[in-house]
Amino acid sequence: MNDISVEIEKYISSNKQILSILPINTKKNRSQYVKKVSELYDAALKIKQVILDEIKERYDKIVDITENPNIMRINKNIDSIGNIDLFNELNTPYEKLGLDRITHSLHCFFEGDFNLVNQNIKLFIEKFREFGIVLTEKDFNYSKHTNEYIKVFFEEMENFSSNKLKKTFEDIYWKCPDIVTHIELNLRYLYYINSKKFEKDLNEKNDKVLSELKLDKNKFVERFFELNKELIEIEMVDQKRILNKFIDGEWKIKDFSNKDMEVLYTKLCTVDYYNSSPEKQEEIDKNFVSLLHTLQEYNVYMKYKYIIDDLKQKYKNKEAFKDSYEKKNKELRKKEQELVKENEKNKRNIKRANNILFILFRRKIKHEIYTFPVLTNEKIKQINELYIELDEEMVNTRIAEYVDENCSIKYMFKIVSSFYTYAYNLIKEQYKDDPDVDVQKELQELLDFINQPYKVMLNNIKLAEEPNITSIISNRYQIMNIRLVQEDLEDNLENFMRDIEKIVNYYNIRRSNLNLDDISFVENAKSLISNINKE
Amino acid sequence: MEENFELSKLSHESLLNLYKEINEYIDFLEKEKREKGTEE
Repeated sequence: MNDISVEIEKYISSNKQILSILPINTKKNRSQYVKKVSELYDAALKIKQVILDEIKERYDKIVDITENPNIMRINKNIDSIGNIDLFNELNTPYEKLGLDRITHSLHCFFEGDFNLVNQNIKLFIEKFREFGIVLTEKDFNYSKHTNEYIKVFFEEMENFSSNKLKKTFEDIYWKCPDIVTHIELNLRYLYYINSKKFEKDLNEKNDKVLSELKLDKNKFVERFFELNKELIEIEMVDQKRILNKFIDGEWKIKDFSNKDMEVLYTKLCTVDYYNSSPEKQEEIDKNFVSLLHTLQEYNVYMKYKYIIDDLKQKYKNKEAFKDSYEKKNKELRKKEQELVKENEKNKRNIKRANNILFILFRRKIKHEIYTFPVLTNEKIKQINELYIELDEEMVNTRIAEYVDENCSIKYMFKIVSSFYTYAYNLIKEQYKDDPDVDVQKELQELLDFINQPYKVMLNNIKLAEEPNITSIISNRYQIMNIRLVQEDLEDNLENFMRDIEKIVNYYNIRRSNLNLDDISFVENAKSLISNINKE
Repeated sequence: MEENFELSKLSHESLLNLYKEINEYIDFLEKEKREKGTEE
């Protein structure tokens, strides 16, 4: 024990000794006793402050580390590349610009709130403006109610909590509960009639990006994933990020004790890790990193296999899909044209109803005006169904165009992630009996996986193959000195992944050159420091 | 006890233990003050 520790310990014990022999039998004695206690108390507070100052100084020194500047540099490079979704060969500008997500959200408006409905309409209008298309209330004629609402929407666009907007919505909603669907379809129609411009402008923008970067499309995508890989690898060993995980409580230093880690390495290595050379240890740790990536791929594959199975089923019928999109599209556009004409006729009827020249037809005109909302709503319902079918046909047609037997599972996942509504609906159907599952969260997890750069295994499994993946993984890593049996992947995947993740985290902590004692100190002192900062 | 004692040579663990110890001592003194101060 250090001298000062002994000294303070002696100081405390001798003071307690002094107090124990002081008489307390009379009021006067007790008063003197309390006086002495107060003196010792004040002295102890001063000692405590000196200790706290030392703790704070050490804490501040340890946490005063800056993030690796390369993280910002690479992030800037990724930002300069922009959005690779804009280059997705499977998508039209409608999906590339995220308009599909906006209309999907409107389609499921009952899952959100009134504010979200308005935000989505605004977002859609803004996307059009980015491409030089300024929408006005005159563009919203899908139904009388759409126009009524949008008129007020444009007036109150900067204030969604406006009572006028709320009241207008409320009044219309009870007359026409499908109002949000009408707006959604009106927006889709607006995209359709402007789609050529979107395609032309987006192609020009994309060509400009590629020419500025002096890359072709494939190299551009490759560069995006390379940069992301570089970023992840630097972030994994970044001192500030690692220390923050301990400060935030995500990681606990006791989980990385020498004893725990030794147990884990002994359990998972087929060689004696601790008696291996540093080079061999490095090799084994790298193998664990590689295994973790493979397990993450396998985990996603198993979790979302039902989606791949659905795509495979579609692929079997691919011959039937060759012109199905075009047929459905024609059918839909025909109905939309009918709707446009009926809306125009209704407007004429409204004008004529009060025009003396049409007095002989007034009764017929008034009857047509009276029946118009119901008829038009019926037509919009049919159009809505056609749009749902059209979305499905878009996925089918892409399968017919892009998928063959040699297509990889990775590419199949790319198809899924390219069509938001399709993926959303499949996930929703999968968990229809489990209302606790957050469908959007599940979908986001899948999209995040698609955008991360480690997909080696799934890139090598072909659609036509039915490989025994667990056997492939276990054989692969057994020859890399890792003890892994098929059962680990089949029955115990979650726990097994947790163990591997722990080894990889431990490896990264060591690579970061952070001192484990410092981490432990920060972890233990953080509540003290946070109390000091509050005072 | 002098207040300008040297703590920099203490390990992190010993420093935190020392903090714990002085805190316990302060709690003891507070208790003594409270109890003996109110006895008639």
